[in-house]
Amino acid sequence: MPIIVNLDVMMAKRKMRSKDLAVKIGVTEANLSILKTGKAKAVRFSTLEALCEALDCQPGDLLEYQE
Amino acid sequence: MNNKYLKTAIVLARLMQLGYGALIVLFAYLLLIPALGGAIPPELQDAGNKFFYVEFSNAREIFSNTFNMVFYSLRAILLIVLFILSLESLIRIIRSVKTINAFKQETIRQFSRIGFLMLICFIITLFDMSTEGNGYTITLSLEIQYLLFAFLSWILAEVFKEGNRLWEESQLTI
Repeated sequence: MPIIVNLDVMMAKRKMRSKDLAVKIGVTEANLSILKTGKAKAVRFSTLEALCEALDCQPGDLLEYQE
Repeated sequence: MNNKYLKTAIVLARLMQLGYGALIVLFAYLLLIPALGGAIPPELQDAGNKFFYVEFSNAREIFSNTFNMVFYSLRAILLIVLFILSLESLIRIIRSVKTINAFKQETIRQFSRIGFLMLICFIITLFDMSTEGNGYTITLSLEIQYLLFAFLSWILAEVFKEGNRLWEESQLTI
């Protein structure tokens, strides 16, 4: 899929662990892992909003389009 | 899912399997053993005042020679085995619905299996072979209901395949 999820990059920048982020945005660690590894088929706006709030970033920082 | 209809369906399917199992024994006893040199069972000989009497609609043709007896009994036993296997698949599908796992690959496989078994039933019943005197007679008989069941099962397999795709997509939506 040409959409790349840069969640791990943002997490590293904010020095946040998966466990803490999962608790903060209200998803399981397993689901967060699916999102990080790019296996997810879709992201809910509510999840994206929670991620942006927790990581203090924009959706564009998390998602990237590559040809 | 604790649905009494699903439980009843499983119990009925199991009872049908037992009934078909008993039919295999009956066919072996009534047709195969006499064909292989055993005595004709008394249950076949006359109605009289017997408690249990078996009458075949085309008895004259079946019992006219050994080939017919073996052919009819083996075909009947094979058909019954296929029914039992189809019922087993049906029970697995009902169980998957009960445990809310209906849209899994396993259910799709079971539907395809039922379709395949019904197609074999259709092919088995397509030709009626019998012999009287010197020659063999092959009669074509189209048992469309088996083919219809096969198509229905394959259509359901496709429907469940689509359901499986949607289920996986919903599981991978974060």
